[in-house]
Amino acid sequence: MKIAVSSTAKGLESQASPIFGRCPFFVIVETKENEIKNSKTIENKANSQFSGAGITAAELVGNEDVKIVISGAAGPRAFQVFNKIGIKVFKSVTGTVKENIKKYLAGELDEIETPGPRGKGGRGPGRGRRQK
Amino acid sequence: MTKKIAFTGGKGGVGKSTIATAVAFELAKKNKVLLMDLDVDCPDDNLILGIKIKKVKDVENMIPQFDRDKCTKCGECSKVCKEHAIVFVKDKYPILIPEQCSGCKACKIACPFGAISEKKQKIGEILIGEKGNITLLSGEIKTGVEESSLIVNAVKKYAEKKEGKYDYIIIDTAAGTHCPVISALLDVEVGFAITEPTPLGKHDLNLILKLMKELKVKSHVILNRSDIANKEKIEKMAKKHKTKIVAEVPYSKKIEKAYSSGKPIRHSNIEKIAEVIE
Repeated sequence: MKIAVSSTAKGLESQASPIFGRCPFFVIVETKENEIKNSKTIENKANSQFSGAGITAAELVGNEDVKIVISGAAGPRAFQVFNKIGIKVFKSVTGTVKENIKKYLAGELDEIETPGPRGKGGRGPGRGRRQK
Repeated sequence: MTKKIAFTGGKGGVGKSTIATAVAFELAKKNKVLLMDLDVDCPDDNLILGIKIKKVKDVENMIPQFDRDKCTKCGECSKVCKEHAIVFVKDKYPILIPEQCSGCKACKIACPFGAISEKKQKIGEILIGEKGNITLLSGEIKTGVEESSLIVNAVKKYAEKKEGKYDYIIIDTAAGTHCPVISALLDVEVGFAITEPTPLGKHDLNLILKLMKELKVKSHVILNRSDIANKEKIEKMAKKHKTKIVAEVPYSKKIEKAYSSGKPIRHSNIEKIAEVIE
């Protein structure tokens, strides 16, 4: 099974990022029988996108055939995508990507079932655009 | 001849609606005025003028509808979508995020299999109200919809047929210099940039005057809360753009009182603005 962890840098030892749509990297981890089999890092090309970063990031991990996402939160539009393609989201804890994977495999991470606020992690117009 | 004038300003909270409604009120003493509230994210000129507005029309745009029998999951529709409204994950049907869709129809054109048809979604409303010589036309976007310029354009189009009946058309724009403001300012003869004597006011004035130059809208500057700080910086900025301050509205208790009780403000300098327009 493939798991994507939003991350601040490349590799299993990097710190997990609490941000989904605008995190710099995703570490894609392949597990087999509760063990880490291999991993790779992909750049989050949605990072600098003006609007809808969460949507594009969800598309990106979806195309990696990921079934689980570990992150701090995900916005409502990213959630729409996750629901349609059957990805589940689990709440990350402070620590490395590897630590988060181990906690997930041990059943210690909570599933996030409702989206966080839209545009929270970002520079996009979701943030405060409706204010005068 | 009907005159079309806009009140804008770049910065938020400088008094665009306050002054636009006050000028409309002043002009309406002798003329027929159409006031368009094109701050569609939060229209509130009706509150200031005490005009009851009611819906006259829904604003709709096209969203794609996918025919799963024809769709081959090729992903072409997603590739051409500049709004990132169509998500494509390989081996899955395209996923539409309707709030992101601008209704451009590029996906429909791009689909090699004719699997996309048009469906309508409501994205906002046009509202109308009247009081004396003022007709107020407001646009209001549906919460969560991204493309506010679509509502602005819909209100302007709705007004087109009626414009000839009025002596003045006054447009109250949103803050900023992005799409809904650009759409609001297109085809306007004169734009009043409202600002205040603060560094923020100066900065945003620069942006809006630049935009009006691009759009070939003749610009004037109105200085609101004119006595809260030195106005020299604003005068300089206006001069840089070859325009000047045509009116100053001071920071006064009387004005604040009118504003906070939801009434159009009155001041001798507002009459001056009306004179500049006339």
